[in-house]
Amino acid sequence: MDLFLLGIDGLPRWMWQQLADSGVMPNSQKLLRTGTLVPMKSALPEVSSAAWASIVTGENSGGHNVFGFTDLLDGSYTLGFTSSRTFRAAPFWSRPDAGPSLILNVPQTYPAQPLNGMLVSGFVALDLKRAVYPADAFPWLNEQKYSVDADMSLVEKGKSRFVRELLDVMRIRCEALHHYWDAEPWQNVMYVFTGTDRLNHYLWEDFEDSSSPHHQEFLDFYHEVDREIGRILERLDDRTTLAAVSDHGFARQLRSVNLNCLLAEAGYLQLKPSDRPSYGDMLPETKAFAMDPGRIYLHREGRYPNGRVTDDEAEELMQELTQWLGSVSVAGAPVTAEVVRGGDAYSGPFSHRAPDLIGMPAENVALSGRLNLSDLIEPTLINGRHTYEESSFFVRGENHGEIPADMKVENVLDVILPAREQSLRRAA
Amino acid sequence: MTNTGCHNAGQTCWSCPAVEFKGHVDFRACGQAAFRKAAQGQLVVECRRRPEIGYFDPNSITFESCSEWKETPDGYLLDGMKVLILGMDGYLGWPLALKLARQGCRVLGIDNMMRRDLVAERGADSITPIGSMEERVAAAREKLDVEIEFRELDLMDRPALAALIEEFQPESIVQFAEIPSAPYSMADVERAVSTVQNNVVGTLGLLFAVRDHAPDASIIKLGTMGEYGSPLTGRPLFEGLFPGDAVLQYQGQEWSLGGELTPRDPVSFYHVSKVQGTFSVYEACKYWWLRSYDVMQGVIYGNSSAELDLDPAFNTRFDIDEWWGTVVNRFVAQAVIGMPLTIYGSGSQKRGYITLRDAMQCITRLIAAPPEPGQYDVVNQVTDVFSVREIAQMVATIAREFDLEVEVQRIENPRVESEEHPYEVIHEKLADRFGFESESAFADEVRHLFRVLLQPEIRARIINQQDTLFPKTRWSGEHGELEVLETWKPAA
Repeated sequence: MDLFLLGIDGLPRWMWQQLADSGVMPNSQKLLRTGTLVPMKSALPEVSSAAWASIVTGENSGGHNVFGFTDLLDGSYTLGFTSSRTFRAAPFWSRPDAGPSLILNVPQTYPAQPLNGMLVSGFVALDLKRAVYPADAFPWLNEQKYSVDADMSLVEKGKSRFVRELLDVMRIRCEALHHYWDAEPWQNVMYVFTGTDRLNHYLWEDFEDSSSPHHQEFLDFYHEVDREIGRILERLDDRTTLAAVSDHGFARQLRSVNLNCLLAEAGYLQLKPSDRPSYGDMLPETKAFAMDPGRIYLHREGRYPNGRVTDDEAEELMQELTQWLGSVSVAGAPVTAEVVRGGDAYSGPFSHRAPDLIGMPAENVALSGRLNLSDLIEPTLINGRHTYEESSFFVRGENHGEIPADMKVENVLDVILPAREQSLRRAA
Repeated sequence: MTNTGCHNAGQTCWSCPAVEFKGHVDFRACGQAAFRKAAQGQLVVECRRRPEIGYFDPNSITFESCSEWKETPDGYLLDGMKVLILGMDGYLGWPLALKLARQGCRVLGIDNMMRRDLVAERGADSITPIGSMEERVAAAREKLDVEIEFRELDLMDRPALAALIEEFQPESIVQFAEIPSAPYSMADVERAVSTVQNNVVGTLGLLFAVRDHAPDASIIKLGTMGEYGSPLTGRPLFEGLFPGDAVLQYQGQEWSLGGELTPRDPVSFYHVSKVQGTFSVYEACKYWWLRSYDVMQGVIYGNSSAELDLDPAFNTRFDIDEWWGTVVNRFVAQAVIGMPLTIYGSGSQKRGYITLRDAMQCITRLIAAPPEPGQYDVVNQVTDVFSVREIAQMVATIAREFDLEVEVQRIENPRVESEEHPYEVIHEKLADRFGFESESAFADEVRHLFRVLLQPEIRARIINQQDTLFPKTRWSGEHGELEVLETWKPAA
């Protein structure tokens, strides 16, 4: 095997080191001694769909066309969900020189697309049958009760019940990994733990509060993740390039602020009255709107059916919005830490589809862009949020490409597959 | 706020049966998903007809903006919508099949042909000649250039019904396959049991088959205004569910009744079976997220529609006997052969009425505007409220235009019912929410009926079965001739 790329969704670099050092993750402790662990920057905005797409393609969103979990279909107000169909750059396993690959539970790969090897999609995957390539792998997975995702509604039944579900789902996935690992002489294997992200979203407060009744459950889950990491390490020899990455960091969330509420209050967004508002309900007077998490789009003429913001007006409007976003506060605290321009953040053939501005959330804040304007601060059980900084990048040994000082998700392939990346760039 | 003003222009893909629910996703939590429709989160669906869209928010596309929904006189209709009509051989089933097929729907109908046997058992027959289903389907193909598919199948044959639904994958299902006669259900125990079994068990089996094989199909279930009865308090007959501001006061306290099912007070075992059907559908929507409109239809009459009027080969059945005929149709038949119009008791009983033509428009508009998953709603499909005495007077008056002198006869009431009662029907939804506008007034429809029934060959068929017109079935179970109380000639 040439490459084993391990994903641990939402595991911050500092936390991995901390849990390794404290003995919660002893296998990780051994592993981290064998290579280099550095903080990595996520995608902009810091969502898993865009970040994993960058990790597996070496492109930023302008190159792979995934800017979030949702997007408006071109020239319309239809809210589509990004999937492997909208994902426009080739992941490393689809490149001509890739060799047979086993790809399990990688987000943003649903529905499963044909490849030289086998793939079971990670989230958002809503139908196992279509998450599997080749199709003849489905019956065995189905028999194992392989789950495309843990059922989030279980969190309403209690955190302990939810953690049990995460453990069950992870164990079955890991069994599938080893089952298929044995089946072929794979050149590349990629496997992603995604339960870590789910856990962090709902039990982050319990991690931070050591007196919480769920604190130990949180640590125990990571201990189980680490046990599975140990099982993987036992099977790898020294010739395999081993890298482990997460897609974003994590931090405490005290409130989820709906940017569209703020935009509407300030008059930038105007909606027709509707019980279930959608983007098609935006009046032509709308100047700007938001999409999850902090993407802000100008309602541009030519880009949207009723858009009226001209190119001449755009620059002034972006300046105005940037200033306004920097000054607006909710519950006495700022909403954004920084506002980034899409034009500065992306490169590649899909850059024209990028948001005009990206609001980076302030401390304790998660941003959303829903059109239901009933709650500026949205009620949610989520108490952990993504961070742009401090995702994890680890690579074993020294036989790898140079790790940039400002490591980003789109640099992962450059570091772990330097020869392949260079040949690809030469070919391009 | 729509461009066309069609009643369903602003409905979204969440109501569209071509859309498949994939899950609720919380994109604030990395696309964490839940797979029950009852969950919270961003709705995610996929369109079976336009898979190229991928996963999307169903509320972001309206019927008006979707290329699969085509504008028709009855609102936007899903292009080639697959409609399963249960009971297609009946008085309502066949005209609906013609209307929908002509509007571009793909119609499949089933029937066990029971109605023909039951009418024959009474010594009667449709007084307008009707062909076999094969002949009707062939006529539709030949004269209207539409393809209607028919299969002889009994709703009670649950495995066959389930297999059919799985195979056809209907997008709308119209449930007309019920035994529709109050006096038949009161005649004796076998007929009561048969009515209840067919209607109640048949509908229940249908609901399970839909749950298992076509859960996104909308179910248009035919009920009857008779489910409500006629409350002596004068309480309005709301459309199935209490309005939001309805309040129950009791012992100084108040409780909201908004959204609860209104009381039912059926007036025969047939009506009891309809009430049971209502509860079954209501529960299925709640348990399984099925979707349904329950149509509380008034007493129906007439035999015309845009399609039926085109050619006698399209005739729908037209019954006039005590068991299978309805009052307006029977009065016109009686007038045509010089038989007194028979009023039960005082004749002050009020009911809601609607023409066949208007009923077909209403049902089509309901099919065109499917409820959302899990939604159960009720419409009162009624255009007018008359007392039986008023109907007799109006029919007698119109008969004079055809040189017919008509007597009216009051007879002992064979039914157990209130004869003097208030009757306020709320019937606003079809007009307000579904864009229904009546196309046929009572007098015009009755004139049309006279013209049809006065044709010599039709009149001869009425004369042949005149013995079946006078009521014999008593709700009390007693036997013997009903007494004639009074006969008079209505004033001009």
